[in-house]
Amino acid sequence: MNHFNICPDCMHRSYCVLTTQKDKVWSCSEFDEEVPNQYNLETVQEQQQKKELRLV
Amino acid sequence: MATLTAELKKKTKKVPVRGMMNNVMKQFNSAADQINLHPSIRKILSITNNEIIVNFPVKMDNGEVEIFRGYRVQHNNALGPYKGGLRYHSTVDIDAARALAMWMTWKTSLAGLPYGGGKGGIQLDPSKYSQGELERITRRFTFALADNIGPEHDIPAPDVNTNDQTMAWMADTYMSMRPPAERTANQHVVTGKPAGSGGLEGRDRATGFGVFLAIKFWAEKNNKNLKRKKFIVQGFGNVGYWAAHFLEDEGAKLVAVQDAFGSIENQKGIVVDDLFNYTKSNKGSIIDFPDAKSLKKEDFFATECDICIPAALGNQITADNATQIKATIVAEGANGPTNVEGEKILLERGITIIPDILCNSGGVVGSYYEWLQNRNGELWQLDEVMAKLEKKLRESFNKVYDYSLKKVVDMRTAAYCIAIQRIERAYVERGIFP
Repeated sequence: MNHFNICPDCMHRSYCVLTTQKDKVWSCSEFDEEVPNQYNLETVQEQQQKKELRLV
Repeated sequence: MATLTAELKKKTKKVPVRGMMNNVMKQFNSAADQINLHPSIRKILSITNNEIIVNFPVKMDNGEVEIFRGYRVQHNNALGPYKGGLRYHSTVDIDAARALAMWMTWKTSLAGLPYGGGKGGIQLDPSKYSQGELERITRRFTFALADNIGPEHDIPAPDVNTNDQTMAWMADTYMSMRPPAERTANQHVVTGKPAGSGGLEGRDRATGFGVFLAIKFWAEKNNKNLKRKKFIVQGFGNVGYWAAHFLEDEGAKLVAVQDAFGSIENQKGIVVDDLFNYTKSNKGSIIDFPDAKSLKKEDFFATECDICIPAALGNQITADNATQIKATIVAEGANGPTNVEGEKILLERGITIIPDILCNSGGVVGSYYEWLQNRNGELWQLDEVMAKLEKKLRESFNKVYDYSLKKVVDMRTAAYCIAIQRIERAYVERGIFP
């Protein structure tokens, strides 16, 4: 078994027609991951600001 | 010329190999047998020079500290500094990095570059981190690697989930760690940087252009004209798109494409840039392109064509579909698209395979030009870059093609033999210290 593969983290994994061997892919031109969540960052910053206000 | 006389000990320590490492070792041993590689050099090349594992802390956006594990495997530097990508992925580990580093050694050697092979990365899932966190992770990883990388020692490049932005952060961090007067002289510590920060014009198309050139060189050698030749492309990413773009410019006709979403076909021809523009407005998908009909995924490789370009992923041409391929040439834009059984069938049917290690080497040659450009304090124009790429890739292609004819072997065997012989020669000429 080849334990290294990138399919589990690919956003196309549920419908990708390129391969059925999704446990053997170590390089793929179609690989895409979800873009890091900027909203999450903003939410965290907002929470931090609130926390600071509480401390003051 | 000095001769190495060391002999293999009868009892050698068995290094456990698995997965990808096993495959890479199989390819290496097969080529080493073919060229009757010196036993001492076989021993040296069977193992990596250095394996660096760093655990480093990074402060997250929420104020908590997370510990990350990063790797850098340096396989061999007989021909020059280690060269290879850095990938950010949850499954990155030392075994994967070893196999890919070894593969880079053969690739840079075959391309005739003054480089060895390396690979590395960080075990993480980038989608779980913000841009700010990824920047801090990258910078802290660069700091942790410290002098284990360097412009004349080990030169990382982008890979899965890393890009020109990642390389810009790495270059900036590494340069900031040098004494002030040396900072700008260290810009070439990484390649794949943005064009405005020392990157190379045309780096985006280098791999696809290389795939196109390999087909063109093969056609020239066989007195064939690419005009009106039909081709199919699997994968419409950077490599597939640019290869198709240049082939179309040469008069060839794109007749079928397959991507993650599905397959399309039009035997009258698909206009490459029309399809590219369509995918941009269709969430990256080729599906429902108006000037083509959809094709069953299992029928893609059986499409009527002269040239087949698997430019997406590995294990695509197998015993199941190799008998159905209509093309007379398969140009491997992806890494490992033809498996052993598939290759055997294609060769028996007289279909030429331009192997991945040669066919998709335009990218690493492009990286070399970026490194040279930075090292010499120059800025090259796009046309210069393309001309230099063509010269270098023609040289590699001719070597492989001529070797395969001379030794009556397929082009993949020829490519591995040439790559390993070049390293062998360096060791034989230099000897082993002390």
